[in-house]
Amino acid sequence: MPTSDVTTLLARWSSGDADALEQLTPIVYDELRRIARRHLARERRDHTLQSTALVHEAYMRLMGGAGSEYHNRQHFFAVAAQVIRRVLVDHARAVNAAKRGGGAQKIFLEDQPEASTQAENVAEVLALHEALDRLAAFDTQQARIVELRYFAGLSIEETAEVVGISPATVKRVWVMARAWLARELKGVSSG
Amino acid sequence: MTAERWAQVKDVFQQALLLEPGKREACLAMHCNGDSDLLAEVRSLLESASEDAEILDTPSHLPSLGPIVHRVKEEWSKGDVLIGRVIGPYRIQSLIGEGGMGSVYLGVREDAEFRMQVAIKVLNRATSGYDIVERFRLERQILARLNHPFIARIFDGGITEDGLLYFVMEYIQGIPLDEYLRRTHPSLVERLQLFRELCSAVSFAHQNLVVHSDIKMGNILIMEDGMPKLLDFGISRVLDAEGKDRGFSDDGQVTALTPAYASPEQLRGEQLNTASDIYSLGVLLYEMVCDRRPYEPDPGNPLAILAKIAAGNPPRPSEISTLPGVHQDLDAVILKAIQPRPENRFITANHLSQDVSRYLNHQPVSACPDTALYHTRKFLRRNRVAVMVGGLAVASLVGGVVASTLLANRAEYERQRAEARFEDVRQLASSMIFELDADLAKLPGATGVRGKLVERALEYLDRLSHESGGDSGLQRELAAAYEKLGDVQGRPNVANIGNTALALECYRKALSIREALSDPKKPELSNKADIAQTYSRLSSLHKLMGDYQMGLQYDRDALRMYQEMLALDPNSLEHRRKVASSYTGLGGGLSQIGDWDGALESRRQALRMFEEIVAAGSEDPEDKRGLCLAHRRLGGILLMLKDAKQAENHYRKALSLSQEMIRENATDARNLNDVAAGAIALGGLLHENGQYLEAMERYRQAIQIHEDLAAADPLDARNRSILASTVYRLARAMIAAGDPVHALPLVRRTLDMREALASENPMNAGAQGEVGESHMLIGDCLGAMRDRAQALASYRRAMAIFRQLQIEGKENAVLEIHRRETLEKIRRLERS
Repeated sequence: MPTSDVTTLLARWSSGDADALEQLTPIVYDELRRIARRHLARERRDHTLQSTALVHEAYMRLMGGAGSEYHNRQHFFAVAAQVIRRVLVDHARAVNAAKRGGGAQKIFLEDQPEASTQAENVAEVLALHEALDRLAAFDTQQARIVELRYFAGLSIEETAEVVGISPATVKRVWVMARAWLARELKGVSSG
Repeated sequence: MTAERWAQVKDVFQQALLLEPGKREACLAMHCNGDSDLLAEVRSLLESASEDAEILDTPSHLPSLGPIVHRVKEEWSKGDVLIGRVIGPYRIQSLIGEGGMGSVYLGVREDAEFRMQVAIKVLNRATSGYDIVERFRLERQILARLNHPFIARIFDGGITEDGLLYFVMEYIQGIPLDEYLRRTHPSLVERLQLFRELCSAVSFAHQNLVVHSDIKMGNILIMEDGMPKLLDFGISRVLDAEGKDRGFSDDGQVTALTPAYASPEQLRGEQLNTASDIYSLGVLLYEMVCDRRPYEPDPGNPLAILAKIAAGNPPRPSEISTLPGVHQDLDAVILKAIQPRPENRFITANHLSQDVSRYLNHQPVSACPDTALYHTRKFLRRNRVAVMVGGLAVASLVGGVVASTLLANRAEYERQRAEARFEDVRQLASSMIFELDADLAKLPGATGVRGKLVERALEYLDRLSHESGGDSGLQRELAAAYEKLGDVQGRPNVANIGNTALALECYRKALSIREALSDPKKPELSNKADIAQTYSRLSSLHKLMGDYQMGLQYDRDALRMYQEMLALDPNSLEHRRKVASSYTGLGGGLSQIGDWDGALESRRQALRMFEEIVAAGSEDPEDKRGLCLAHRRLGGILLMLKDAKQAENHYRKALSLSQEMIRENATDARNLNDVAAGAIALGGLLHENGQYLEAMERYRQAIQIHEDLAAADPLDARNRSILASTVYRLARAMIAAGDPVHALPLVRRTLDMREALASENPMNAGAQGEVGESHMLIGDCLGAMRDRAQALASYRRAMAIFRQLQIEGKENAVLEIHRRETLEKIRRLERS
């Protein structure tokens, strides 16, 4: 996909064209997937990769030279964060379903020494996703900041740049959103 | 919660957050203004926030995404995504199989003319890109030569746009060996015959300098007609560029290898060689015979297998196999192949195969580890077959005189007692190696015979070494035999058949035996001398392979060793001679890395010492040869340092010494060589002086000598290499003399000769560089003929080779000068 097409789609999306997002999502998704494959191949048992590396690399690859433009960067990261969130949630749902069906259990036991943390983690990710939806219902901006910080792994400064507010504000919002989510999720992790 | 309500909560929360925790209550009371719900909500959030307010970036109450991201990435990496995509000229059709290292797809090449099915192996790990592609490009020529009925061909390879490494291979319809054995239950004889076919494939690859390093059941397919195909040959070689991934990763996890098949040295991450493949073949044979591997992993303790592999004491096949016909002799063969120490295994896959064949024919096997008594009993019973056939085969090569000696020996055998036979065979082998070989070395044309002779004798010694126990005398002989075999295979600067890989292996074996024999408490002069000699051999071999630093290191080691010996016995002429020769060698090493001053000093030292030796009245022609070489080499350095007058002095002395020698002994090929070398050196000097016609005359003399030698011994790679270089010099002088038109066919001839030499021995970095040098001179020639475009093309070809050697770290001082000059010439032509 040529850079210019991605740029055009981002521009259309930012001016309110919902279809553009539908077209952008698979492009970003494919790119993330490609990068992930490479990372996985390279790092072996390393769990430290975070989505940050994925997103930044996808950005460099998809946007290339056009990436230096401020608004492109903004929109791209917003889309990437959404895509990553969607991928992780889909995955968590699939694992959950397989677990209920019993099919995936065996694989976990054989492959994954940390099978129990894995299962717990899946439940947590789903709970977080739902809580984030509830938060978005009354504070879209805060939910978006969480998405950028948490799913795309952006720093305070990067988040500030994407959302277009000061880093200090992001920091305050982040503290609050985190406090709220932590309270919402307490039930999940302790019970 | 509504947005309005949330805005209120947010407002109060953020106001309170700015304050010290102790001062917040008052602020809350003021802002909530009696709204107790609001107050409770903000309090609860502040409480939640205080629990991890310290660390902004790792929210402890939120789940870590690490594990799930990792899982997703794993999902993503599964193969299906490639189906339908195009890699190179191939479209991926379906997934054939998946393994630890990657996935194999069926690909189809659809050109206008033909449709071809291939197997495409995509490794599921990324590479450092450029390096590995470059490496593959280098290997491709070698892999293309692996044209053997039992080896699956590799056609191509590269990197997908996702950065994944892939190989395009011959598509084989067959089933893996283990499955084949389960399905068809072949007899022992059929299994052993199948195994011998695999040995022939491995042996063929080894002769082409390719090590497999991952031989296992799963890498062998059996086709419908029962023929085996060994897969993935040469892939490990390409991957070795990233050597870390072999064996164990940093966290101790087994990665690429299948540990059950991997040799102890492979598991230790050492350099792979043919001995590791022999080991894997042994494991394979064990499994084909016993239906299990020698060492099975312990599920409770995955690392325990490593200790078992290192100990090397598996159950004997004859005790566990359910096949009829498995006896102790087969145990001996299999267990010899999987000895933990490489030097105790079969030397080649052919030797292993031959032993299996002996077992099939109910002959005694060479691997039999039993006592000398047992073995000699076998000799008694079968000596015509087991001992003499080999000896006679060699005898027929060497000629009548030797044959009658052997026949006399044979008559002798039959009269003697069993124990004495052992001694005789040993002596025969030694004499074949040392006496006959020394005589043959002086005959032009004997290189091929010498190779066979020494190899065969080595077989005997190797076989006997099993019965030697702690016999250090035999160990010494064995080391000497390895060294001799190394010499014939590829010792630089003497007649050899250009198999550098085998030579290196032989020298290493010799060195390790000799080092094991040395006792630091009892410095033994003869062993020191042997070790020093092996150092010198290794030095010249490493220099040939382009590893000049390593070569220099061995030069220094050898010099140190000889100096120690001279210190122990200061009156020894022999030690003095060795120290002197070592200075000559060190000078060569230093000049190759461009340390001209060091080289000059070291060569002056060599000359001084040889002059002393000859002045002291030495009659040994070797000393005269040493002095001659010392003069010539010193002259070379002086010429390099632009001291033409001094250089000429030394060159003339060298030439007159060699002419003296040839008057004394005209049949010694080495004397002819020295005369030619002297002529070439003088030619170089005359060229520098601008006396091109005189230089050409000298070169023609040398070419005549080397052409005679080449006609007498077409296998001698060194002679052909000198011949090519001399023709090259002649052509260069012609161009300088203003006759590029007649020079051009000569340079083209050098290019052909050098390309042949380089492809015969891909490890010879110098030969690759010389191909570049010829391209460069063709460029000069065409440039002088005003053919700018073609000249530029030739320079670019030269440049590609020089660059490659530079990238591989195989560039020496001369090649560096060539590279810079070529670059300069390209730039000049591009500007014009």
